[in-house]
Amino acid sequence: MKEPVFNSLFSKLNHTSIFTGIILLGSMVFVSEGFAYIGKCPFSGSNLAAGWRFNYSTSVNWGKCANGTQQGTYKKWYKNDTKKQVCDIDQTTSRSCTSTGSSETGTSQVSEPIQTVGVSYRMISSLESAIFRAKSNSLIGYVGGIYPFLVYAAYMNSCGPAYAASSQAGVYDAGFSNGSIGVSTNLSTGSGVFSTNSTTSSVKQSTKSSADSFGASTILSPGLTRGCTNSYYKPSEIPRWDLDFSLQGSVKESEIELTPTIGRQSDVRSVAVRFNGARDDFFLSSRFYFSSLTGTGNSEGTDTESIGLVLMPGYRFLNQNENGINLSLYGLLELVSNDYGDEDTETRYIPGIGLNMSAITPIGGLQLSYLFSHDRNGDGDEEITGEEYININTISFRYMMALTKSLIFSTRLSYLWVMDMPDDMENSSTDINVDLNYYGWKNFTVGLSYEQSIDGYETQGINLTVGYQW
Amino acid sequence: MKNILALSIFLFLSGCMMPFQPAPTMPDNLALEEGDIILTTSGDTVSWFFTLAVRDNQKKSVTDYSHAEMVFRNENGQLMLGGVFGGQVNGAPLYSRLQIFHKFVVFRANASVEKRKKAAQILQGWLKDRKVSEAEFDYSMSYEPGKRDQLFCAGLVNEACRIAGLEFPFGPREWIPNNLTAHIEEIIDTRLKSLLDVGTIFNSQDYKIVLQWENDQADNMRIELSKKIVLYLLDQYHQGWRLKLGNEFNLFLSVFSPSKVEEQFARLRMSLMGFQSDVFAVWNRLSRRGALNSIEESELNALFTMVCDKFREEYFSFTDSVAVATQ
Repeated sequence: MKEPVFNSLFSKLNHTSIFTGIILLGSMVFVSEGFAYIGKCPFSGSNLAAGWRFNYSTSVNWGKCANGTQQGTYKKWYKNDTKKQVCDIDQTTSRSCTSTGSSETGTSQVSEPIQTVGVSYRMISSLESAIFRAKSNSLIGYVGGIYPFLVYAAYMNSCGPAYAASSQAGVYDAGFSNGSIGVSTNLSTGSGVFSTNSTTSSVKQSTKSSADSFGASTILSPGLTRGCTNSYYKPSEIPRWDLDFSLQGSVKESEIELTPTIGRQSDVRSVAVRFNGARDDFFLSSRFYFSSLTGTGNSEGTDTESIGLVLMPGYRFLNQNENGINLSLYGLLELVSNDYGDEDTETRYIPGIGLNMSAITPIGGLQLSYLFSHDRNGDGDEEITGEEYININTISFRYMMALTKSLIFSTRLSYLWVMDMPDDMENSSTDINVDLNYYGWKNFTVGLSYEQSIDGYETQGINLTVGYQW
Repeated sequence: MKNILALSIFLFLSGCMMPFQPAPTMPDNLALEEGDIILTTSGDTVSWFFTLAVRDNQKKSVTDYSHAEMVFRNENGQLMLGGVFGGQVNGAPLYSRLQIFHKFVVFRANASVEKRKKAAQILQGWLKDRKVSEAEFDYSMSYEPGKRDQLFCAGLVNEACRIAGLEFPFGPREWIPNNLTAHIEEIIDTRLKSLLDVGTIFNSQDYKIVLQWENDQADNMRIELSKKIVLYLLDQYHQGWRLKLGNEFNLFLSVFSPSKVEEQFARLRMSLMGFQSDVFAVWNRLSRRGALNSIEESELNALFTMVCDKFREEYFSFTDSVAVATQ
């Protein structure tokens, strides 16, 4: 008799890893959950695993429910005594209305969400597969799969007791852990029936983060009405953040030759998880990566592995558009932490200021950028220039062309110049990138990039990125 | 130098705002001739502003077209498209220029080839005449024969046709004064009289349509949103709100030292573009997050209005006197 597939897989699994994570997603909900992975995990190398996950969590929700009415006040102003209304103000409008005519005040029923507080729990069971890389006593990597699961919930809020059930399917789950602390994010989609003590209604299918999949948004779900208008959002609830997650892998050959005796040839492989966020003129870019350098040529045998984290907050303080030309000036602070294992750790602080000019022309998009960055080692060690810092200028020119509505081609020529380098050292590099990005499926993007040095520090290789915009 | 700033002028960016899109499929038989008049629309906010702003019924426009240019041939024999765009009298290669529009319609005068060619040659001549090519923009949009110190798109084409002995392609439109026109009058310190309407050529017996085209690569959602933005803008003016003249530092204005009127229109346009940019950003965000899926049109409109309201006080100011004046 043929052994069931999962039994076969389980027989190869020899380790159970459990960690508890604290999920902080959005300001509306905190979820504490534990989940277990059963998988081959000898704490080194890349791993494949499949297994079962049972997940129990309790949520404390607060926010506004989409049902209910409350009293509102209004004041109407009239031009003199003609009773022609000039304007009215209500409790949500802050402007003043200073007409000299008569006025009238009153109360009205205002349909709007009511503040609520609730507690809920959920049980999730799922089948999943995982790919992750483990090192030392930490689990770092990517876990992905398709998770059909059921959600049950009961909660009490100011609108009364309620219970809910839905079936959902998670499509993505990424996380990392070090010891007992883990961070995880999950995007899921699903539908179900939510019930309150007075009304039952179907919830439209939607894509939500795990914070939204069950938490405050359950209470806020469209269509969950109890004698109220279908209020999808209040102005204060309109999302203001643009978020972007991506997974990136690259394979490159690199040769950095500062002098005939100082330099390195390597094959570089790296994987990275990126997260970018922006709100108004503020932006944040972050990257968590693993990089492996295998020495080649004269550097053979000098292999290095490193794990790093880059955080880069920035702010645009000039952003102007004229006749299709956009001009922006921005400042940023790049914080880099690299762990080279037994060899060393490194922290760098890199403030920078940049200018960006772009335009759409009949032949495509053009972009000219300049960035000055001051790169300083956090340990105060001297750089190769003999100073404690390196000043770097980067100028780049990019051309973009839409091949189709979903496929964008771009090429970038960039010139990097390091200031104050000793005379006998290479101080500049010129590179060209050719990129192809696809935006055709939902919010996902897929990008393929080829990089080639023309002059200076030699690098060539490819870069593949899969991203999700939210 | 001053006229370079006209690039930023509120009223005549139509036809200049280039969308980032793939090359569209152009008509196979693009057999255009010198003197052909082309009505265009970019489908952007400024185009819709022209189309809807002073109509009797703003939601049922006579035509979607907002801008007019003329085909001419340059000294190398290349067919070009010329008119008032980019803030001044300008010309650009015909084929590449046409690709940037959302749609266009070509009219040809029922007149001799010589007369049509003459109109085109007059336009070509103006491009080299700095007095004409750098004339100020005519915000009053009223055409007066012989007027060359202030020009606008339809007025320029009318003037070239008049000199060439062709019938006027465009006539005045009927319009009703409102808060928006009052605001414009306040800025230009002139009473608006008759406004020239590019749509009147559709009723002319002296011109016939020879080609119509619509861009198959246009971003129709963005075009529709641009229209909604303008309808919201007009509603706000009706209620007594008006766009603020942004007073923040602007590098372009600082460099090009415009006249007071030009600067005010540029600042008005900055407010509109900033408002549009914020609303579009939120709308795209909601779309990405699935918030716009499977909801009724009326709910969609209500949500759009709510998003616009979110930014209203940032870009509009309420003026009681305006509201009172219209009672």
